[in-house]
Amino acid sequence: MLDRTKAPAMQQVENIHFLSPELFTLDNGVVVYALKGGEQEIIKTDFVMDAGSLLGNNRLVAATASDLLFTGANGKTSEEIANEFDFYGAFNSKSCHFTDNLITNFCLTKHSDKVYELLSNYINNATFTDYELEVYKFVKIQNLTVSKQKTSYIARKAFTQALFEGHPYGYFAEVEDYKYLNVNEIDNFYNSNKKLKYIILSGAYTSETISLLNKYFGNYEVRGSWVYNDSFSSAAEKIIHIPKADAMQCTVRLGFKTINRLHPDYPKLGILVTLLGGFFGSRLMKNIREDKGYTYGIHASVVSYPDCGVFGIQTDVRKEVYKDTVNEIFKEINRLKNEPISDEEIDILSNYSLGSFLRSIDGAFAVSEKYKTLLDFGQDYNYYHNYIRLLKNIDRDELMQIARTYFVDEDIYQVVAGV
Amino acid sequence: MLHYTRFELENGLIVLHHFDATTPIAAVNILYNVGAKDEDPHRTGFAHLFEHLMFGGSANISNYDSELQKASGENNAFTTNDITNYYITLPVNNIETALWLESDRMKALDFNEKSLDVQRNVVIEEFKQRYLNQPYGDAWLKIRPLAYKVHPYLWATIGKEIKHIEDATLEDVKAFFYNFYRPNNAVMTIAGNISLETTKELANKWFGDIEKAPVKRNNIQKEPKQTAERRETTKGNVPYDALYMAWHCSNRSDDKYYTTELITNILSGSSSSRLYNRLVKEQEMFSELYCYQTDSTDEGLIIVQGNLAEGKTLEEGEKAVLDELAVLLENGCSEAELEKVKNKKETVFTYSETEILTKAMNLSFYEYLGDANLINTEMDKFRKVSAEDIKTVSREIFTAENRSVLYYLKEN
Repeated sequence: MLDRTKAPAMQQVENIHFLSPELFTLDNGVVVYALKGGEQEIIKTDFVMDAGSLLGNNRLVAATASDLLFTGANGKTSEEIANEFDFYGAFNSKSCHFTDNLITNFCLTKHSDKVYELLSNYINNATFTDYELEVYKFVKIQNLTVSKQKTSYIARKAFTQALFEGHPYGYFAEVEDYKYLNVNEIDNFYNSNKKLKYIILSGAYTSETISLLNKYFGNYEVRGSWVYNDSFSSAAEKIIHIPKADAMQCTVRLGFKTINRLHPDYPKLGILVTLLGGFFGSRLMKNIREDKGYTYGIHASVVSYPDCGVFGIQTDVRKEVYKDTVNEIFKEINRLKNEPISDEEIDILSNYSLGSFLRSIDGAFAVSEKYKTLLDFGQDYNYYHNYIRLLKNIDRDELMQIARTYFVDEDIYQVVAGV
Repeated sequence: MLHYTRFELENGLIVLHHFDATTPIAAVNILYNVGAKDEDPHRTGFAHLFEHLMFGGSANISNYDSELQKASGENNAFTTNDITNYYITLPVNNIETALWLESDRMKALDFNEKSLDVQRNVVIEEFKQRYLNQPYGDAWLKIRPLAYKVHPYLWATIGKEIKHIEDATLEDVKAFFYNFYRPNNAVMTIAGNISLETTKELANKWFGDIEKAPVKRNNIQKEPKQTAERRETTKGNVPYDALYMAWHCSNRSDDKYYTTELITNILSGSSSSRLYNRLVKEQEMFSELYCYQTDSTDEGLIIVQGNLAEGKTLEEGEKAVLDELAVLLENGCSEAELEKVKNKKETVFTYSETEILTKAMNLSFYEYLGDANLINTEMDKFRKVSAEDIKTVSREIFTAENRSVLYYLKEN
């Protein structure tokens, strides 16, 4: 007779295999980090360029240049260019980060010759026109106007701006900013900064794929080096309320500026934040959602910026319970500082996080994302080996110490939008 | 070609096995053949509320999530108008934990007031967060009953109104469970580095003793052919007027589904597509404009929706959409344009087969549609669509009498 009351034997995640990159150097010295894997004949190529948003004098310029890439080149229109990529079934996405601009392409391996040719041509010879910029402004301004009605947007903006007053990290574009954009500054910015830092290739590539990258990107201009240093200050007032008369729920955001991935305590802080609000079984989810039913979801996270980190908690709750929600959040933070974590919780936290990590490096495409983060911070796989070691030996006293060091009640910003 | 093996337990549970040795992760996907369309019209939102309750503990396991987390697993679920789908990924060594958890909740849930109480509140907050506290969030609550008059697609999975969720009782929950959550109403896929032999053994061990039972279903009536255009106007606190147009289209099993899908791709979804280039960029009529189909099992809808540019009227916007559709009806599409949307599909399809969970989900879904092997013939069906088909099916769909139009006006 089957005993359903007893869990089947479980094994802890043991050997985590990291896909090692093959390194190739193109004729111009650009390094290609290549991660091979997968049975499907599809590849992902990440082109990492210099043109991040910390570089621009007008912070919106970098993002706009990124968004407007592929809207013109060699006298072709954006529709013509899009048609050419689409014909080969290729997908492009562009995202502008603080220290770089990322162009990601997915295509079937069999089309890589054509697709790389298109990419090289249109990245190298990109042009920007008034017509495309005007359309872009019109779309962006309307979308921004819609966003401004969402309590989630209002809270995120107020929170980030309070943490980074007057600094690019705290920048949110306003309607007026779009109006002042002009084509010349975008063109100038793009052409001075379209330098290739490195390439990450992942999926079912062959030696031919590497030759093609060299053929099309081997004579491409290579990055210079730039250092950004600008100081930021935070708002004095830490409690911010933004009413919105017709809101049915309010968004609550709490958090503070903290360490980033370069600090030795960061992986431990990350583990602590997972316990607090990083997964379905976290303390905040159990308390605010599963016990009290105040919300559909509540999450905590810590993210790394180039020279600092941000810890944040966010949730949408019904208006009547926002005060209680804030109190409960503080209560949970204080439990981290004062109560040792139970054996069962450590068991769950450790095993869940190990599984989650295993999933996050499952397959070449997934690894490519992780690998880019390592490169961004000048780290290597040792960072993750250390993280795994910590996960397998979670030390409750150490985590309590981390909580006491990094969670200081007086430093916590509180934003409530919608009441 | 995706290889799989299908077998059936004596209690009617269909199991699909897919072997993949390239990943340490296994996926277990269970699709129950029950969705919002199976609900009583006076108790809507129940299939989705029920999905939440499936995590509230079962007869022998008080906390589903923490047991799975201990085994390094992760899970989630979703409800549509047609199905409720539960999925787990975890290290393949621990796959038995997934089967233990899933079989125990298929055998019998732990029905308790506390879980029902909390999840009612959670779902009500979800209702607000997704539908009521977002600009235009309630548009779908209005389009469905405009386009459907008989078929239960006339309500959304979240339900017609919050009150239906508030009124749910434990008795309703029990009845729903013992009717729909039976092995003979489910398809389970197990994918990963696990042999067929082990899969059979474990499936029988954990699911073999669950009793089958007849499933009573409402008699779902086919939506009668629409014979005249329907129009409605609504108002909300939104910054711009918005247009929603819906036309009835084929069901998921009809060959026309593939043609319809490519029609939506010609019109929308890329910066090379027609609606974006003509109506957003050239005419600056809309700030965003999308066309897609609802992908439902029974006869679905093809939707065009967009936010009007400041200063343009809904009448102008509607006319611009109809003019653009008229070009399609008149001239169809070129061979190159058709080839383009097929090639994009091929990339999407190839990508979907790089992930163990997506493969498991798709196998269960195609089996539910009638044949798991559809996963291997799907792309051929897209390839077979001709330019002539695009014109013919467009002409069938985009008629005035087949159309429902919702004007969403900004207040003031």
